[in-house]
Amino acid sequence: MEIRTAVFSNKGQSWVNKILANPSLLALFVLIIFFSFINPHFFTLSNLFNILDLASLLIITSLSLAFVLMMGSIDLSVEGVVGFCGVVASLLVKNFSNSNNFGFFTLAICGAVGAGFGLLSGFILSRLKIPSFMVTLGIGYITTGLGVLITRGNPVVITDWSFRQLSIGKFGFLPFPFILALGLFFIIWLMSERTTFGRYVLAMGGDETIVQDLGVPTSKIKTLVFMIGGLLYGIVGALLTARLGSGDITAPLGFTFDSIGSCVLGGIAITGGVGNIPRALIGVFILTILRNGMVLMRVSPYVQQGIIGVILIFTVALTIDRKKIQIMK
Amino acid sequence: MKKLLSLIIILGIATLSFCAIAQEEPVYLGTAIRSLSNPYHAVWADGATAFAKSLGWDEYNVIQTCEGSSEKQLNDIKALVARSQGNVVFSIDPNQSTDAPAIANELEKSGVYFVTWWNKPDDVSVADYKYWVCHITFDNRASGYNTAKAIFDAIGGSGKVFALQGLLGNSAAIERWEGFEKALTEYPEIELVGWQAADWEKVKAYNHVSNALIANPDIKAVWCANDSMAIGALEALRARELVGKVPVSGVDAIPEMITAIKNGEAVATVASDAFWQGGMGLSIPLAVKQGKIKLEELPENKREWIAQTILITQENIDWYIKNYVEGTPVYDWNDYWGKWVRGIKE
Repeated sequence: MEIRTAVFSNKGQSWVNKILANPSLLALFVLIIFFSFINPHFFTLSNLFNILDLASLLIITSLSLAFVLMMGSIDLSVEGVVGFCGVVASLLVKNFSNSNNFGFFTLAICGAVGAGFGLLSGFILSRLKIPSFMVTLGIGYITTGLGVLITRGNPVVITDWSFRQLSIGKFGFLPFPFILALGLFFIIWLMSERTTFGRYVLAMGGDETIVQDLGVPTSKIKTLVFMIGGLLYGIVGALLTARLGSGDITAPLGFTFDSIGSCVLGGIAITGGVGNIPRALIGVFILTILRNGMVLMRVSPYVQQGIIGVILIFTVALTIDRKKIQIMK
Repeated sequence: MKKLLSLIIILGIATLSFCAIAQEEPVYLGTAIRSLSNPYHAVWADGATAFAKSLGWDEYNVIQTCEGSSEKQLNDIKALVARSQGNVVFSIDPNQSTDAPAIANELEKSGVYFVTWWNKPDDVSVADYKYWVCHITFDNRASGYNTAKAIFDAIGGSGKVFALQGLLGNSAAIERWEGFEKALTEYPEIELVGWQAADWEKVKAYNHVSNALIANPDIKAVWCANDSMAIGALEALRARELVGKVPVSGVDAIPEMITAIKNGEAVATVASDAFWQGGMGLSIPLAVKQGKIKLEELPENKREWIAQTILITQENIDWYIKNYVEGTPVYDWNDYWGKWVRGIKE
């Protein structure tokens, strides 16, 4: 009962707060309607599948970030771990550099490698009591460094065409990576809503000391959250390699910003304790549709980044929990 | 007897030290570049190492990577100057244009000869410095112009073209774009249906091209300001089964792009010969330090100059692979001006 109070105490009582509780969904619909009227190419079937394709990898990394942010932590190792797992994937499938041929088994190995780094982050974070910000930044550098060490900066070109179908193949019209992302989304959603683990994560984001006093093993939960995150990054790494046809440590540049940005746009507070998994999905679609629409509209690239920045600040202003931070620095 | 023994020892020591002086005293060879995580700078480092090996100075070869931090670059350079007690020459790819004068002031103070590449503010003149041997860059406008012409010709000089720019505000991005625009004016039948900034990155290029193909499914070619973006564009085309039908072009000559040109999926790229840069960036300041080049006698157009690039197309791809990919060209590190094209200000 205590936990439930902690979770839902942030929901407002007045009608203004009730509307503001999900401005993201509103924003998504406004965007779709706006672009549909402005550009004839936007509201078409081919663009729908295009958007699903472009959103798929970001959905998976954002699922991880959603968990992490709801817990009140942050994960800056996305680029490093995704890049490293991408390099690992490229070295395991048929490629120009060695004679390995693990085929689809590679996806599982990459997931395990990613989960390993997640375990490491979680362990350091909870046992050595170092803020997640620093730990994951460090892990990000370590994984990038390892990737550079293995490849000496050269992308590893893969030749396994069946593996590449994972990212460029389609089931009917639906892109494969999107089907995979949707599957993972439902698993993570179920985990968040229907298990005590998921509820503890949100409660810890609300007020960790209360949860700890109740006898919840917070260290184990933190480690598990980062492990799940790592697993997801590993999968994304393999998919990215399949998409680009090479394992490239620099390929996922910008993934950290996009993942955190998507969660925030979807209405998950960076201060923790507020949010749910579908919000991450909404955020990913806001970001992807915004970029897609701006290209279709031929908005000048000089202002595109700026527009996204402005929208991001507005969203943070709407979602942040000011009760937890008295002074902004 | 004791006196004789001491005399022999003293004589021995004296002879040994004379031998040491007669031999060329090794000089530390410092290479300051961005990172080893991209193929371009990795090959650069290989070139520097090859030059050091040619002199037998492997142990004195130091590669420094700044990973995008201007401050780290300057600090690393200072540290090597201190460690070598000023007995060092540098080949530097400044992290940003504005870093070049700061680095120059530091090395002037210590009397260390050095060469810079790519990035330098236009209003800073190398001739005003006593130890800044030269600043070498490549003609980005020509790269943009030549690859644009190659791709326009590949589609018969007419049709819709989409373009990807690098990081906006980056000098290489601006200049390559100017070259592209110049070519565009010469081909009135070519219609630029849109352009985006993909920040030199594969994934962003993939996304932009995917989106652009929605608005204009009949795009006939994609021009890119570098090869990483060209590869991203190529994969977006592949996912839509357009690869080979819609040609792409880039700049840098990374291995993936060479393969793509060989396979007929891409039509053009430009190589600046990073291996040569790595070696020559050290050879020139070393020659000045050893007195083989008299700095005061160098004309201004050899203090700031543009070096030759290689345009790679379907026509010379086999020659390029044979000479630069499968084999390493033989470089004469004493041929200081072999790739000199013109002074920057000419």
